[in-house]
Amino acid sequence: MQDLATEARNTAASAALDTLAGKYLTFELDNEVYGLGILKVQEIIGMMNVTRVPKTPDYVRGVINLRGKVIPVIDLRLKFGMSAEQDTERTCIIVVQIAHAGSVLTTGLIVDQVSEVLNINADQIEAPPAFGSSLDTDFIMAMGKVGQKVIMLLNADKILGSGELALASQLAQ
Amino acid sequence: MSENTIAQTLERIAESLVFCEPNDMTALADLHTGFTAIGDWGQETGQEVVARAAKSTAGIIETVILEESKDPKRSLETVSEVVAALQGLIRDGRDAAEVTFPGGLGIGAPETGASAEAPQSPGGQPTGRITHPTTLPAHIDTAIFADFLSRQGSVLEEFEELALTIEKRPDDATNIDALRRVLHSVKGESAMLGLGDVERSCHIAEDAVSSGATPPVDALLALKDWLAHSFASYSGMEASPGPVETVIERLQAGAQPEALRQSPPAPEQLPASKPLEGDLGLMGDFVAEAREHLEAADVNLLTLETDPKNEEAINAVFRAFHTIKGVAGFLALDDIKSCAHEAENLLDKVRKGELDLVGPVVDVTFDAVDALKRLIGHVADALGSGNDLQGEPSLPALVAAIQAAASGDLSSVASRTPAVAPHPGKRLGEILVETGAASKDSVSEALEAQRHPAPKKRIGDILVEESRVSRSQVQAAVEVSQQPGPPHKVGEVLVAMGSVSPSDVGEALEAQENPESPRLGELLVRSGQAAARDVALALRSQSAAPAQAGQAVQVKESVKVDADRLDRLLDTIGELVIAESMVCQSEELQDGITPQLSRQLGQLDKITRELQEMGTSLRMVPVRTTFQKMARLVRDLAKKSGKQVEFVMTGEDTELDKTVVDKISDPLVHMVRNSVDHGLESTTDERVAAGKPATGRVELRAFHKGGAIYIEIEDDGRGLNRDAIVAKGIERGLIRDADQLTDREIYNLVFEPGFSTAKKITDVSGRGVGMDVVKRNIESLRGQIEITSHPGQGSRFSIRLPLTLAIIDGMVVRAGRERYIIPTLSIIRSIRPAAGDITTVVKRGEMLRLQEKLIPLFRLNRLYDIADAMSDPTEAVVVVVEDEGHQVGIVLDELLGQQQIVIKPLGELMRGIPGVSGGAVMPDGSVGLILDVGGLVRLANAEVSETVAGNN
Repeated sequence: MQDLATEARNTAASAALDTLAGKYLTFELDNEVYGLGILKVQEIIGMMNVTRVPKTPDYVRGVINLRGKVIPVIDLRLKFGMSAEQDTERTCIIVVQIAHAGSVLTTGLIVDQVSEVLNINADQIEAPPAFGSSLDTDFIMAMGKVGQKVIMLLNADKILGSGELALASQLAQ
Repeated sequence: MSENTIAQTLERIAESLVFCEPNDMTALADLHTGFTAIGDWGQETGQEVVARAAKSTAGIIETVILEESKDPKRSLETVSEVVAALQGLIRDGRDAAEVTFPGGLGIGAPETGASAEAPQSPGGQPTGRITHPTTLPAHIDTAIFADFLSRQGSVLEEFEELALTIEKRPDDATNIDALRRVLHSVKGESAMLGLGDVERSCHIAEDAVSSGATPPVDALLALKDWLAHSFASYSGMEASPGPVETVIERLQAGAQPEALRQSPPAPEQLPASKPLEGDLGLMGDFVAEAREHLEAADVNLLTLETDPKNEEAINAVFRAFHTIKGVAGFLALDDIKSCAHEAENLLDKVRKGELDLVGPVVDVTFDAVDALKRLIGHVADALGSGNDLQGEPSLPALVAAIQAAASGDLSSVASRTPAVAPHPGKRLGEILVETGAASKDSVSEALEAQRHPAPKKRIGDILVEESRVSRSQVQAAVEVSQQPGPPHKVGEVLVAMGSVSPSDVGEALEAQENPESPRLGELLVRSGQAAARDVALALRSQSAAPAQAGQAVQVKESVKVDADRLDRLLDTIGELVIAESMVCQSEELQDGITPQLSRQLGQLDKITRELQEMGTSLRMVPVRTTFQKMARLVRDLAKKSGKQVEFVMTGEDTELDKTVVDKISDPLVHMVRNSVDHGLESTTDERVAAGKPATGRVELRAFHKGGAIYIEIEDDGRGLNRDAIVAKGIERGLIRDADQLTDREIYNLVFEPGFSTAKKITDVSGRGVGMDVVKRNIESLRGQIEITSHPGQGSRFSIRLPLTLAIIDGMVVRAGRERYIIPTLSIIRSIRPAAGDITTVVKRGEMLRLQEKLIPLFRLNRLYDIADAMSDPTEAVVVVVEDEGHQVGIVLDELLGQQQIVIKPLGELMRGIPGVSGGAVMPDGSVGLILDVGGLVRLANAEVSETVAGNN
């Protein structure tokens, strides 16, 4: 079932861009606007006490207790190679459900601030620009243009790309 | 992605739809994902209808999620209609044209997409057939099959247990009977499911067991193994088992010798004249089953006497006939079938309200029940004696009567009813006195008794049970008592009819009042032998089956629950416990607490703890299953090695966390094998020479002690060879000499990795094959293992396990601003070292002198890059922990206190962090990390060797 869902999503990603039209939760990172498909988002919570987990990459901020369940929290700024910033009142954790190896992982993403839910139509969506092979931009599905804003639409399943999962298995050895 | 998964997806969607509210985002998102997946699957497999229906539905759900839907409730209804339609298509394998999708989806059967697809794959149906990894017959309902498989685990366990008991006590017929029943039901069910091999092998095994010979236990165990394999392969967990023929041959060979002495084995052994055809085993089963059904029918018919509209009772009687008809048809018992068929028709009319179940109709039904009982009795006789199956001469007349009754022609039926002289308006006492059957005293006594408010068992039932009257007499009496005029008691009428003596009625009334044995009576009515002429049978069954009856009512009801759901419940309880302690310990509350609030909080605390305890107990299962496996293992090993071994188990009912029970099995196998193979002397002579009984003894025990559970394996064999172990230890450089070592330390050497693999030591002492694995497994369960051994007297392996895996006692420690938890079990002591106690070994890190021993020191802050931690060990705290027999010191800032910690997994992404075994929710709601001492030491050693390598 999960394989199926993953596959379905992958197909969707490679399919025509207009299948990407829909509602997106937009948020800001370093003054850039990003969007996550609304169906991937479980909830948004305010910043809370994060327990650091040693021996993990710096972008893994740690773990939190989400109503009794321990979930990992990723600092998206660091993950995307931006500089670390102090948390502010507007710093939020977006809890997403991402598909991984046949199961669904609940993961928190720390973002600078959450903006709004936007309906992005097919004609507002463009293919992501090619950054060259040096940049791993697999997780950007497309670019949305709404008014003056350019929104990077993210593929939640790929934000935690091969890197993290490799890390986990490498540590396990 | 098979249809199977799609069908499951649909099933899940259907379930969650029931509870789905339009504002439940998570559920809706799930639904959306599900439908998208189904849609894609439909597209891939070219099932346009499915694809489009699923995609449009996904669209509908999206509108609901985005709150664009005008009527979200209605939208969800549409969704469930689609689900039903899709289930029709995919699960039930219906044709696209037969399924109606709700309007507005653009999916009708004549749509181009559907019709274009239809010609290519006729009926559009590769659907509906669910493919399985092995040779599962196509027509089987997966749900039934899954249910069957899930039950077989315990069935096979019972199988094995019985086989082993039979081997010990071959003369005890009850075990053999029980085993035959087990085989029989597996055979029956697998026949229904079309598992030919299983059916065949069980059938042969059944023959072998029933032949009267000593059952071939070896072959039976082989069959059990084969069955286990084949069920596992059906559940997709294993490859297909080997061919069944080998097993069958063994079974036949096992049954052969005895069979030759007596008579050839079934089916050839049956007399040629026997007209009973088909599966005799099934037939026997049918007889038992049909009798039960008829008994139930009897009871329900009596209910209907007083309450002719009781739907439940009508349905029960109908079902009885229906079932009997079906099975009889299958077994080609035509008489029974036709009789049951007619009766079923009659009852069907009653069910539909076309006919009232009163007077003659009831009589006819009773007659049908009686006739069926006779017929089934004939079948049983024929089965038992091997004689011809007797016919029932009255059957045609009865069938005609039933048909007449069903057609509403009651006149012909009425003539069959026994004539009852009505005594309208007369009281029982009067009648009794008139007939001179009883004294006034006994009548009034009886009346007194009947007025007694105690258990309302009907007098008629009691009388029938006690074989005082026949059921039809009771029934006639009931009819009379219902006639207009002052109401009569059934007992009165019976007496009046002369069917029964008043004293009997009196006794019956007393029995009615007597609450001591209501169950036995009930059973008898249910066992419905009560129908008059079979009363004797009833008495026989009464004397034969009392124990069963007792058990039958004492059986505890249990509910099978999905393990995932159980885990979720336990998780939620865990959350509740944490939330509760957060509330109770919150500072705001402590400031302004009133006595009343304090009491209420106390109450809340109590309830929460109780809930937690209950939750924990839900996961507890007895170790019996695992122990049973060991019994089998010992038996097989003993056979193989030619040793005589007595295996004793105690405390099989000790309960352990399910995870522990599952994981303890492997280590136990290792240890039991060691005990039998190597622990016990190789020959009986050797034992006798040592002054021990010839039969070796291996004991497996489980018991509670001091908040932990112990599992012990003890043998009375040679004991560990201390000298050989010491020699080997020195040879391997593990120890220098044995002088300073305690026995315990020496024995623990066998747990060293690789220690055991050396042939030399295994030959001498025998211990240690895979013992390091044993130790590791037990430690992963947070358990400990200890060896005690006396040369020449045997050895004992004692495993200590925590009660539950979900909660540990932990010491909360601080380093810098971070908090960690160290399991209390692994802490030996904590000290603040003096400066002189610490020495630095060149390039090897720091050592702490502790009671004349040097132990390595690890600084948590260095290992984990913790900022702001104390850097001077003399100002910090050293916690001395033990890992695999080695002591190490961990340098920390502070001990914060000990508490019970609920362990939480850190999740997929955080798996395998060195030195961290899990997380725990702390009382303040944040997460603490639980340190794994072994992992920490490995991490530290790795870093040390890295530095060393770097420096070189």
